[in-house]
Amino acid sequence: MSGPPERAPGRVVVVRRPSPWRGAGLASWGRAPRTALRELGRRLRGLPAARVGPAPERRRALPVAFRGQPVLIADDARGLRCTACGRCAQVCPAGCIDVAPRAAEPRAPAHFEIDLARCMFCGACEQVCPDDAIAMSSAFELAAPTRAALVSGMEQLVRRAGDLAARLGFLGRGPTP
Amino acid sequence: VSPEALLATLRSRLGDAALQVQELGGEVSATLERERALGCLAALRDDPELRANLLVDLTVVDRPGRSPRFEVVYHLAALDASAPAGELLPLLHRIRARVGVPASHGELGSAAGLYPVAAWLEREAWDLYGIGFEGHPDLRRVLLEPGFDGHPLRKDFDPDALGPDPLPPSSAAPPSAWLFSPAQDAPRLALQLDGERIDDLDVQVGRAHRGFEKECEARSWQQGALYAERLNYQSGALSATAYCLAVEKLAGIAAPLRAQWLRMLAGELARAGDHLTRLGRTCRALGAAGPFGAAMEAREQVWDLLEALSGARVTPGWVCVGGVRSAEPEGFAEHLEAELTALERLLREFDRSAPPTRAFASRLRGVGVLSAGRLLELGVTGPLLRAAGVAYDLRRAEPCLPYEGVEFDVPIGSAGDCLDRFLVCREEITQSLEIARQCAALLRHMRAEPIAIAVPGAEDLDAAAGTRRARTLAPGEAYSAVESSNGELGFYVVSDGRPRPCKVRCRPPSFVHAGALREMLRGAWLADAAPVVALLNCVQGECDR
Repeated sequence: MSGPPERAPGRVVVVRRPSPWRGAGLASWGRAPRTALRELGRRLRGLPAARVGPAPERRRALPVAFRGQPVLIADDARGLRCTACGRCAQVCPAGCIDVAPRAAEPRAPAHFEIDLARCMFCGACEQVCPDDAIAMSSAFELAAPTRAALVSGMEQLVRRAGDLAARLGFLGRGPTP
Repeated sequence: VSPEALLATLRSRLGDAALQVQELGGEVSATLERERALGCLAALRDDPELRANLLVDLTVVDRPGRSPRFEVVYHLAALDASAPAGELLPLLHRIRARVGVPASHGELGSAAGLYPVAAWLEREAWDLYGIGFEGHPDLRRVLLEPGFDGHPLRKDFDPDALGPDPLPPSSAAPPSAWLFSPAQDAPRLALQLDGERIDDLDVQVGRAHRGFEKECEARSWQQGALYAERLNYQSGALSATAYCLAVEKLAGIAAPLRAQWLRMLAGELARAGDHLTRLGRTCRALGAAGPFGAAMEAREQVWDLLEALSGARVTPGWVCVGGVRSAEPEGFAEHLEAELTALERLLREFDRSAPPTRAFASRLRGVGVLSAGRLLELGVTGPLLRAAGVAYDLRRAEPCLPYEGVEFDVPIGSAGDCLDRFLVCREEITQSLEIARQCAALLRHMRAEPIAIAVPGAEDLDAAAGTRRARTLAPGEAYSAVESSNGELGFYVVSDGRPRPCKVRCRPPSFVHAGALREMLRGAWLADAAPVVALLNCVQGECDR
């Protein structure tokens, strides 16, 4: 990689103020109705850039970088990747991860909870995980009737590795560790 | 001026009133004797070589074990006011001055006579640390309610000891003045009116105070970035970048070049989004629904771009100490190029309806004017200062990111009124998108570079031993600032060698500018408060922290 290209630093420009007389002449009298008609026509034709649409039916395409609900990854052969080391819980800025290891080998969580009411979806857990066991999925419709229902346990969190392949690929991590 | 030459000048000018003069990591600081502190500050301001004409920030560091316990810290900057008009204003140097203040009789003279902005900043120091400033014109709480008991940024203040409702009932009674919030999310104004003229006013901030600095003291350095991002949530990427740059400076590291360009790209998109909010809100405050809609639609597109880059729209959570969390997706430069074309169409629609129309411009013309000199005395930087004709932009004056590698114009105004502020912000949107385009094009050639480096002081786990071990940053301090959408957004971070930060101070342009609002509105028409406040863009998350 070479250094940044040499460029002119750019200028200081004085912004041009519109004249106080602009639009004061007779010629502009018809302007307001003309504008109103034009705008009405545009609305009737439908704005090309309008962003509203039928929400549940037409779904927005999510970008590949999108970070939604953090989930735990399980491989078909070996099961849950998580070894309950606790790094994710420690780096979480919101302190929303609660993990406890199982007493017996192999190392695995006996208990793993994410409080989605506190999660900031920052991806710090995903970044720190040495086993690629936790990753940000594309799930974002997470409303729940109570705060307690937002505390997700393992039964809500575990996903098959294939479902997260796009995410792990985007992060440059292999399909299996 | 080299730091060594500056040190020598400081020593000779301050004499024995300076207990210690030192340079650490390129930052020059002087510890002043408390009794003679004001005289020293005057010398710093008036000396033809030191010329510290801008009081950037004033804050306090509390170290309970030390004597004196408190340290009032002044961050000063010397702007070259002799630069010819129409040229970039250079930042000559920064000086940090500190004064020890004992806990028993925390009295220090007020610097408000030297630097008018100090009157506003000292109110916060009193509010949060209980430092009483002698001779202060109006020393009362600013962020917390008048009836609050205690000074919460003192180390011995325990926030958990507060009840669920820490305020005495009397403080909820409304003040007798007329209360007014001309734009949503703005500071509350208590007005004294003479007909429709504003006789006097009291700017009331703090309703959204979340204890940002106290929160940071309970977290790791890395975790603080997420909280910093939620200060100015309109341009979170800029806030997080400013925070991370300060912590990296403290740790003595620098993010990889690619991460710096990525931060710059996200920061410029965030700036464009922030300015669009400001302009859209101004239009709405003046009853112009059409351009407001166009601005919001354009902002949606900007935020979509941010999401495509970082994974989240408003507060990306993506800039971290040491770099960024993920690389830009494949083909981002092409995506950006295509989206910017659509965005420019929306911006043209906005331009057709907003400022050039006579009725709209007449609401902004000649409104809220303060001279450039007075703005600097009040600590105002950013587009408000540039609209008054001062081409001061930290991206050029003190670039912490590789802004030397991009080409962009610095727009300035001539009259310093709301019309100029509007036009300057509008032009800055164009320039920011132009910078984003240049960043994306350059990043195409950096795909193989790393996006983050390990932070030596970051928390670490010793997995082999199964123990948790928090490593720390060495004791020290650092200040780093970026040109945010509102002006100088700085972070002053202090480590005492423990795992948690000793102090994280945000120098918030929104808060400083709210302090200048009183002078902008005194004597103005009531109806003019709406555009002045909307263009001030006081983002409450950053103002109140």
